[in-house]
Amino acid sequence: MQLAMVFLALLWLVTNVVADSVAQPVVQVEVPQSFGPRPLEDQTKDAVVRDYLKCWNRMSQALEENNAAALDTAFTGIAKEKLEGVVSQQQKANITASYRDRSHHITFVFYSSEGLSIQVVDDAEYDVELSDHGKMQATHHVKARYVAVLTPTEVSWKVRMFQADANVGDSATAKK
Amino acid sequence: MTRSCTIGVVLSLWAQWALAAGIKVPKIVQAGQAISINTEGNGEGHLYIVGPGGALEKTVQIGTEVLIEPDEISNAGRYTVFLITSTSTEASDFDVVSSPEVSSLSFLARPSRLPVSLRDGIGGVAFVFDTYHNLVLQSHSVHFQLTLPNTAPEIRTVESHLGVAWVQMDSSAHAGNASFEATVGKGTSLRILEQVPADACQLRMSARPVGGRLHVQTEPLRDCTGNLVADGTIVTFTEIYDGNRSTVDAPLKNGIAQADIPANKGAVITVAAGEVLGNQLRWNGGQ
Repeated sequence: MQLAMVFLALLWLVTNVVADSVAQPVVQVEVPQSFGPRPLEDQTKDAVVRDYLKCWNRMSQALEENNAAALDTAFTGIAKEKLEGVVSQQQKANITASYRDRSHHITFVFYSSEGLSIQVVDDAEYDVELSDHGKMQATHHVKARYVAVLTPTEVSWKVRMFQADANVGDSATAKK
Repeated sequence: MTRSCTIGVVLSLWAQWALAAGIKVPKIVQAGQAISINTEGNGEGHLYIVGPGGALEKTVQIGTEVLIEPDEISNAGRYTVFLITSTSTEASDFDVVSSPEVSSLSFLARPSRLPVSLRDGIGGVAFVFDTYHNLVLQSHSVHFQLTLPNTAPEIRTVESHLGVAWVQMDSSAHAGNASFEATVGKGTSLRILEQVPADACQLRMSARPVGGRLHVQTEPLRDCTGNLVADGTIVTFTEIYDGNRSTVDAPLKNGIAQADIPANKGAVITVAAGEVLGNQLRWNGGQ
């Protein structure tokens, strides 16, 4: 009986640890009254949010594996070029960094009249995990505001511009 | 034994304190400027800078200043600095912001072809960048100018917000190729838009007998601002006689459409171009 209880407790612990490591980020979405000039349909809003969150996933994958090809399905234009440059810099330094997003507060700020550009502001929280020569060195929690511009492509919205805004958010100290 | 242990613990603590490292990083750095990072402590360590904008690693002597050259980190964004020694790990964040000087624009103008006198028919969106292709998030005045040959330009000035400025303008009253330009700082971008005549405004036809048939012809077809409607636009002449309806489609040539139809006494003849209806005639055999 005691053995069974210990087993159950261990099972619960493992399940929760695994769940935490692959937990989906908490997402809030806001569309202000002043948003425009083009009206935003619910389907478009949902698609943009879905594809924007996918870009975080792809960015983390690309920078964790130093694999620029992972960016293809989520990024285009200047954002893709810059991230490809980061992959190259990481490869040169033999380091990798993963970006595990924990939460997003996405505010839609602009939708062009012809429908080719949507801009969002994202107050994001994420953990940066640094590895050197494959060995984990440190993690660090970051809060930052990102400004992103997305554009519709063949089957999805892709991020064309992706940049943090200065002096917004703070961070926790590193832990190893 | 106890004394030895105590000495060992003290020495260990002192060693850790001695090797503990600290870093001081400026909170905000402008793209294109060198970054000075002060390290505190002694010994050797590894300095890492990572972010979605860039990454680098340096072996550093703790207690000295580390200088990051402008070309090593020039993308705007949030970066995390890690200073790692054998006994400690320190981290801090800093932001690289875009240079306030605008260097280039990405300008989208739609549509490339539209009718004249269309309210808010032209949309222009400008994205503002610095030398390092960072979006300039600080507000700037962006000038949009729409010009047709031999007409005064129409100018609008819009403040950019988070790197974006947009405008909607009416197409002008005259057909032709309009130049649509966006300018801010050193950045400028030009697009050409074709303004075509709008739908016909007043459609009038006349009829005269020619041989045994009736020749129908429109007056020069213009839109409401006087531009000749484009050649090739289809005009439909319809003849209703004795319960039967027959139509003839004729393209505009030099603004005029014409056709020869049967001259049936008592026939009612109408004319239309798209959704625009013209006058109606009743042919009474020349009376």
